[in-house]
Formats: sequence, C-alpha cells, structure tokens
Amino acid sequence: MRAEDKAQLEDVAGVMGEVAGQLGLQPPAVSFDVVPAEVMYEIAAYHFPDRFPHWTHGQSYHRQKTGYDHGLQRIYELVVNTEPCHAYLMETNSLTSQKLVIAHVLGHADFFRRNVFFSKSNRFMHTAAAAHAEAINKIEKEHGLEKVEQTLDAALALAMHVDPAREFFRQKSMAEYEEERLRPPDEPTMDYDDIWFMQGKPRKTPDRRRKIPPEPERDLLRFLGESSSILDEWQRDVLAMVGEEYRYFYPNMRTKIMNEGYAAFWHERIMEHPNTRLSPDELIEFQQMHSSVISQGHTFALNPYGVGYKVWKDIEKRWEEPEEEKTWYGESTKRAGGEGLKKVFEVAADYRDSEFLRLFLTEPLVEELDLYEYKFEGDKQKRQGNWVVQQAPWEELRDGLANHLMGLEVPAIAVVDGDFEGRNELLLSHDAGSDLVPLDFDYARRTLGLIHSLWGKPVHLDTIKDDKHLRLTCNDGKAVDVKPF
Amino acid sequence: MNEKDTTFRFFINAEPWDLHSGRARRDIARHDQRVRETLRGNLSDIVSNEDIVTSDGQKIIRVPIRGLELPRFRFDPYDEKHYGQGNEGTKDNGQTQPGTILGKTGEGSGNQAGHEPGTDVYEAEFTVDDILEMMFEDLALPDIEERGRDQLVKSSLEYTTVRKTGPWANLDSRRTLIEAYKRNAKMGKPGWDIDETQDLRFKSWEEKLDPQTNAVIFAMRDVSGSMGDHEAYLARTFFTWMVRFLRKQYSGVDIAFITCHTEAQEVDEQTFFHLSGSGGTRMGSAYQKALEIIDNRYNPSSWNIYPYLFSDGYNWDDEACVLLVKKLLDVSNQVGYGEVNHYGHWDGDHSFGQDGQSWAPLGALYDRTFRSDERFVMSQFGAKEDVWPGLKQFLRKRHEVLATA
Repeated sequence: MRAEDKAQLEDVAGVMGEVAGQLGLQPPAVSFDVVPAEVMYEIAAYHFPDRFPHWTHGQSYHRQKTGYDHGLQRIYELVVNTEPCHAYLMETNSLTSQKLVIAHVLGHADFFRRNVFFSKSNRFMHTAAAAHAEAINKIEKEHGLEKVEQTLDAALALAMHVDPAREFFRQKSMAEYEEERLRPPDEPTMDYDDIWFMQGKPRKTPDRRRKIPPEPERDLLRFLGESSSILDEWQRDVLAMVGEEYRYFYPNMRTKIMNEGYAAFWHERIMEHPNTRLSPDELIEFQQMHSSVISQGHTFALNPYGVGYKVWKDIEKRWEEPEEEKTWYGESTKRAGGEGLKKVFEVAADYRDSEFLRLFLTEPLVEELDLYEYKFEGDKQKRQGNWVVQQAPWEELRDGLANHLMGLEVPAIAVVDGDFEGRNELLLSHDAGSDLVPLDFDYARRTLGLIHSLWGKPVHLDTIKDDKHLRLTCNDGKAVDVKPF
Repeated sequence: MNEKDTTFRFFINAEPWDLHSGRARRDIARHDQRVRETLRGNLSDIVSNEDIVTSDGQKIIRVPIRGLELPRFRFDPYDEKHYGQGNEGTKDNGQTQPGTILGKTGEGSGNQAGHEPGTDVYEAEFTVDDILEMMFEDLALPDIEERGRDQLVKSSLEYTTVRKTGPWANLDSRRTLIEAYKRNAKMGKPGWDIDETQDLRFKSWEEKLDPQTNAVIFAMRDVSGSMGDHEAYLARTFFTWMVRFLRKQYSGVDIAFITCHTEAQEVDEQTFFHLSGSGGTRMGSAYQKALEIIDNRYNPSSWNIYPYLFSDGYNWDDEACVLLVKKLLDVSNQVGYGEVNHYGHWDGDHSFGQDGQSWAPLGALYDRTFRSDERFVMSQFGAKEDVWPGLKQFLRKRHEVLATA
C-alpha cells in the first residue's frame, strides 16, 4: 500500500471512530488490512489468515471465486472477532466503499463486544488456529496426508455437534457422576416427604449401572475424541482442535442476521452523520451501495443484511416514537418513548437471531420484507418437483423461522450409550420429537460411516420417520441397514 | 464493557499481502482431485446424459457432481419448511403470493440470487474430451491381434534429434550456447563467444511412422414389435460411446447400421435410431447381413470388426443365431450382445445363467454356448444407468478379464 493511501485510510478511520463514539458505539481496537482479491477469498474460505489445510477449504475458495467471477457476490470486507479485531478490506474498493466498509466494521466490532453470546469467545482464536495449522502439518508429515484427511473429514462432518454452551456452564466431573451413582437412596427424613408419595408413586431408585456417557451427550465430537478406544492420540488432538474452532464459530452463526443488520444500521448512521463530512456525490454513491446491500432477498434464503437492518430500524422507531400497540393479551398500550437507541443496545447485548425475530418481527415487517415459507412439492423419491411458496399466517412464519434459526439446522442427536448391549457399540439417538423433521437418510448413512471410522465398532442411530421408529445401523463402516425397532 | 475509554483505537497495516496469497493452492488442488474422483463414480449418470451423448468433443458442459459434499447430519430438505425472501424475480405486484413456484428442482443452482435447498450438486465444467479421458482410464479393447497393421501408413514429424546444419529457423540456441561455452572453456577462456563454424546446433526431425488401423462396428438393432423408443435410446447411447471409444484406438472407424425384424436391412444412422418397432423377430438375418457386408466391404485381414446386437432376446431362430455368431467370431475382434429389457417385466420363460443372472431365451443360449469365449461379451440394459456398466463389461481391462475368468 502506498504511504498516501495509508494516510488517507488513517484519516477516514479516525473520523469514523470519533463519530461512532459520539453515537454511543464502543468498538474495541481494530487492525485493518487492505488485501487483494485472492487473499480475500482465502480469508473468506478459511475464516482466519492461517488455518489447517483441508479440501473443503479449497471448495469454499472455489465457490467464493466463482461467485465473484460471475458477478453474483462481492466481498467488501471481513471482520474477525479477535483482540484486537481484524478487519480485511478489499483493495479494489473505491474510497467511498472503504468509508462505508470501515463504518460497517465498527458496527460489527461493537456487536462482538456487546453481545452476550460472544462473551466467552476465545479472542486469540486466530493464534490458536495458526497453532492448529502448524500441529496438523506436523501430524501430516508423521502419519501421511491420507490418514489425516480421513480423520479431518470425519471431524468436520460432526463439527456442528459440539456444545456451544460449554464455556458458559460447568461440566460435572466423572467423580461427581460416580458419587451420584453410588450414593444410597435417600431415606425419608423430612416431615413433608409424604407429599412426594401422595399419588402412590414409588421413590425412584437411581440406576446403579455405570453408564457411558453418564448423561446423553450432544457434543459428539468431544465424546468420540475422549471415549473411542481405537483412536491414536493425534486423532484425538485433531478432534479437539476442530471442536474448539467450531465452538468459536457458533456465536457468529447464531447472530448472523442481528450482526449484519446491526452493522448496516450503524454504517448508515455514521455515513450520514454531519461530522463524517461526505460530499454530496459520495453520499449518493453510499446510498446506492447501501440500498443494494439491504434491498433484495435471495429467493431461497433471507438476506441477513436486509432483514436485520429493517428489524433494528423498527425497534428503534417503536421505542423512540412509539405508536399505540397491542400487548400479547390484546390490550392497548403505549410506551413512553425516547428510548430508541437504549433499546437497540439492550437487544444487541442479550439476544440471538432466533429470539430477535421471535420478539421483534412484526406483521408489517413480514410484508415489507416479503418473507415467505416454502416447501418442496412433487416426487420426493425422484426429487422432481417444484419449490412452492406456502400459505402461512404471519405468526406461524415468524415462529417457524425462529425455530429454524435456533437449531441452526443441526438435528438434535446425542450419544445415549457408548457400550450398547455390552458390546462397546455406539448408540445415537435423534430427538425427532423436538425436531419434528425427519433426517436426510442418505446423508445420515454417509455420516454414520464416518462415525464408524472413529469408533471402530457398530454404530446405531435411532430416529423417527413417517411415525415409524427406525434404527440405522452401520456395522462395517460402509453399508447402513435401516430397521424398525 | 469499558465505559470510560471511548477513543477508537485502530491500526492500518501496510505490509504487502501478495506473498501471502497462494496458501489455498494445495487445498484447491485436492478439491479438484476429489471432483474428478467423484465424477468417475458418477460416470453412469454422465454417460447416459443426453446433452453429452449428442455434443461434440470440444463443447464445455456443466456436469452435476453428486456426493462431493462432506456428509453431515441434516434434515430432509424435501420434507422440511424453508424460509425465503422475495426479489424482483419472485415478486408479483409487491408481495410474493402463496403458490408461487420459486423454481424446479435441479434448476436452483443456476439461479443468480440463491441456491435451492438441499442441493449438494456441485457443478464442474468439463469438455466431452475430458470425460472421455476419464472413461478410458477404465476401458480397454480386448487383447486381440490387431489387423491391418501393414495396410496403411501415416506419418508425422517429431523433433527428436540435433544436427550441426539446418535452416536458421530451427536453430537450437540453448544447445548452441552450451557448445560455445564448452569449446571456449576447453581453450582456457570460458565465455559465450560463438564460432559459427563449430558451435551451431539445429533441431531436426524424424519422420514417425504410425501404422494406420481401421475398425468397423456393426450396430445391429432389433426393431420388432417389442422394441420402442426407450430401447432405441439405450442402443444409441451405447453406440455413441462405443464409436467415440474406438475412434481413440483406431485411425479410422466405420459404422454400419443394421435394423432387423424378420428381415435385416442396412440403414442410415437417422433411421437406425428412430425406426420404431413392428413385426416378428428373426435376428439371424441381422448376422447374415453383417457377414454379407463383411464379405463385400470389410476384408477381415485389414479391418478390426466389432459386431454388436441389441435385442430383447425373444427371437425365432436362436439356434441359427448361435451358428452365425460362431462364424462372426472367426472374423471379428469381439462380438457383443446387449439384452434390452424393462426390469420388473420378466416373464416365465426367462432362465438363469450360471452366475444367477436372468436372461431371455436368446441370451440364455448365448450364455451357455459362449461362456468360455472371452471374445463374446454380453450385458443387460434396462435403464440409462446400465449403459456405463455395460460398456465396462464389453471393454474390460485385460487384467480384470483374467481376474474374473
């Protein structure tokens, strides 16, 4: 970068930072890099400047690049939640784009520090990721590319099955589970004990059997890494590294709409602030870019920038200059007003996408944003048919969307028994009752094959499809049987 | 959050990033390799893809690649609600209305704005020649003495030698400089001075003699009442690839089309693939016709001969066919029989071959008679997906033939 370009960006960032501060934002320190397109795709594909090698990163790079080459998408910036935050700006951005992008980055950076779901994130994850990359390179030299790739394939297939709340809640230790298991049943000692027996229910005697895992375990990656008897130490390391990285990514995925919307909400404020001193031409260029970022939906998916932005604007308006609203009980109510930004900051601190939309997506917004529910109609076996927009009351749409975002499309699958029928087989169970959607069996088959490669013994998965209880069993790492049970 | 310090701190890094680029190269290469591996696994889809069957070698086609995506547990995309947001493409007077069709399955990836749910179909771009290349890694001609080696000779030029004289245009400057340096060094003063009388070196060519070999395929098809469009398409797909394959092996490939019900006739390509069925079935006439054409036009001493018959295997003169196939085997490199059938429509007079495979009467007889003759190949074609396994069956690599023998 030329010295005068650097000086210019320094001026811009200084002014933007000052305006952001006046508006109430408190972004942490940000380290900006201006990078060529190729580097941008790399960081977009790897998420960190330095990360372990895997072919899926090559796939992701390819997608970024073809998207860009075909003019479908353009990355202006990337921000990584680290200490300081790292922001990457595209070299080819015009000066006005750079200003917009810096303002946008300030919004993201503020959000990272404000939102509770990021409060336990490892802000040195870029360093950790680089260390993982180095470790995996070393493992590759020792054990060969092929074995490492197979292990990474399996680990990445399960990478969403980690416990995103692990940093928030204390885990019971094995000793505590043992103590609970071995503790003799309580004798009735209190005066009110008889209340518990009023309906003639016998006191529950705890299961004395030692179970593996002691409770159903949703963190498949951790369970396999810690409890499989066939893995080499380096494989356990690989699983742990992948788990650590994905736990770090979880808050990003859970707040995508809020975070992008929040950044758009603030970049507009900052850019239009008089102290930013944009020229009329720059203002017009900015407004064109801004409206193209927030306006269009993606047909098969929401535009997180647009949806988030509109909901934030609406929250601000409803708390700043409130109109009469109906409560959940149908009573008329009106807020005091003048608390728009206060509410915005409050929501930014405490919510994630699912609750954000469940509470703040209103009927007029659903209409304005043109949100809809759609389904496949046609021959499911042959997968020939149409994607058709469904008739759905707006509340149903809102709740469905919120549920969709809550689970991040990851089926609720837990290890229930690591010593199934005393044969050291693995029994997984899909909580179809809460997911309400059947699994994709084709994908489940292939995933079970990968789990088998980590477990080394038959792997079973119980689920429900079309009201039938089915057990998928992978005995040899290849074929999977499906049987009713 | 820290409430006191509100000054925004930042750094602009000016180090060049160009050196950093290229880190993804290894993963991109590995991904490409996996695309190719997956494509090889998908060949049976691709081989029967109509666009590819009918296109020429240079055309770039987008090939859907299934199963490349890393698997994971996911919900059935065809059984689940999804959420979308309108854009100009879907909006009709402002709001997207219930009942609007957002897209047909399989089209979503072409949509500019987004991707249809659940598609793990990755589209890679290949030329038909690329695909042929991949197919041929799995295919080989039966190991048979090739005919016509001495008949025709084709020559090509290859630069293989170096001479001290030649046209200036062929000057090999690198070698010339090396010679000059060596000579100067020998004289005790290393340097690049060129002595035009001693140092010049010219590239020179040799004429390469390639034996030209020719092959003829007899594409024979049963057009009796029981054979319809579907069968015609299977035969067409098969012969298209067979011709492409043989063109790679031989410098000249002829193809003779013969249709047959009770009488056989030689027809043009158009008629061959579009004639629909009528009448009874006497396949012997097709073989006879082929032998007749061989007598007239394709001397077995200079032509490699590949007769293939497609029939449903319900025929009036099975015994005669066996005799004629024996005759054909004497003059041919390989004789093939493709039994076209619709799975699920077997009737009572099917018999089972030695490997438990169920054949129609003609196929069953062939199976018994020619089982030990590796120049006779047979395969069943029920659906488009069978074309690729059928081709592989007919054009097995030598070691595989031995392994299964």
